Amino acid sequence: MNSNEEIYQTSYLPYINKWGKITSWLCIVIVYIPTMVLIGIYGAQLPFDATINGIIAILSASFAMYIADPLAVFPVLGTPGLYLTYLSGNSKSIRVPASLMAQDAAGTEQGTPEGNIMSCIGVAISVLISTLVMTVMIFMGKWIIAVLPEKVVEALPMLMPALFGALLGQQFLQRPKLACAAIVLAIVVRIAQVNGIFQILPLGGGYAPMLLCVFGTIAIARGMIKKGWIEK
Amino acid sequence: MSAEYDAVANGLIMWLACTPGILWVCFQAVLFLRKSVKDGMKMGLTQTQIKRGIRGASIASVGPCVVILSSMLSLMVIVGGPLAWLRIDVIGGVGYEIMGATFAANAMGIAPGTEEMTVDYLCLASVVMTTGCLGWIIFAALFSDKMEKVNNFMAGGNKALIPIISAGCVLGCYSNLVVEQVAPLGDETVATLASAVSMIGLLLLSKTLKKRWIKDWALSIAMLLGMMLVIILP
Repeated sequence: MNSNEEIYQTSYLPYINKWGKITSWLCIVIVYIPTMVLIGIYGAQLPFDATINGIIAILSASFAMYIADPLAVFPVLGTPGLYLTYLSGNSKSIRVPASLMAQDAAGTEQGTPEGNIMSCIGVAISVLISTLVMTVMIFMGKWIIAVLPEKVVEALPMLMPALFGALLGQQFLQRPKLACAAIVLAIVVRIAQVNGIFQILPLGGGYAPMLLCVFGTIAIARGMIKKGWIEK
Repeated sequence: MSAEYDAVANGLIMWLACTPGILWVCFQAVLFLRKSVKDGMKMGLTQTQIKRGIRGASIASVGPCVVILSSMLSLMVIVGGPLAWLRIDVIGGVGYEIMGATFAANAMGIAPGTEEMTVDYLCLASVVMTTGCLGWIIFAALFSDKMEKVNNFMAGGNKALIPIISAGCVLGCYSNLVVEQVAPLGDETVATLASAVSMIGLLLLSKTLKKRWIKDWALSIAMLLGMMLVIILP
């Protein structure tokens, strides 16, 4: 093991895992504080049937993504990035882009100890920045919307597809052959999805396209390396 | 919402109740940031690299937040400012939260965002939304440390392959997301393609002119160009 790998495994990861677990488990209690306040101070009552129905509804809708989403982003975010992302949310729209931009700006390679540390720095910074921006939006959101031209407000949701397009463009420049293969695979998967092929899967199969694209591209990458079509 | 509901949902007590969650998420981020910078420098990362990484991540984080502005306001109309603030900053995308608040309303037989909402409803909404996102926190707490094994498995035990596994993952994710946006044809198609082309152009420009700042701002500029093209085109 070289010395960087040693620092990563013996000093860095144990700390991250220890504090990652502590902050995650305690967060579960902290996020229920508003509920406890509503019950304890305002005397709110939870109707039993409605509570069960509501919880079952949201769990059914989300369950598959509890596993599919982390599996899809883990290779990029690494262990520290996972702890941070699944406390703060917005994995593909904020955390992964921040991780990629940080690593690219620093010139580190994805998946290496140095890359994972840069990724963690990027995600941690994005948590602090996004919290600040969200806070500003909560307080000034109404004013911002009133001041912006109507056409701009209507077009704001277009920032999300634009974000995805820009990131794919960036990745395309770095690995054009693999990117082409990934896009072809995504198109095939999309055609299958639109034709309802994944609906036979448990829980509606909504998670299937993403997982197929991610693991399919990884398999294609390994195949392409073996055949010498791309370098590592 | 009724005045009584507003007084509770937007009251000081709820703001105070929601603040610990926000601070906790920031606390974890600061903890990880400090350790990463410290160990990163021991591993040979320079101050310049770290500063550049921080800049790159900061700039990239602002734009995607603004995307949810309208949805965030919709959530505020249902559950008030404090709870919306907590929910969008702690795990759970705004889409899921609105869905959770709606499920809670349906379960109680009331219409969300109207005068029918009561403090009991607010409590149920808080339970449903919060419980709906526990799965991710629990997954992270239980499995984050074991995910390295998944990575090694996918690399077939060959550590040198891990960077390409990571690249494959990113390409898979965003190809899927882009293709979903592009078809069926619509405004999203325009925004996605315009932004992709802009990004490629800007990155090549940055390389040719050797101007670092273009690279730093490329993502934000490309996103804005994509959005603006949608506004300009009929």
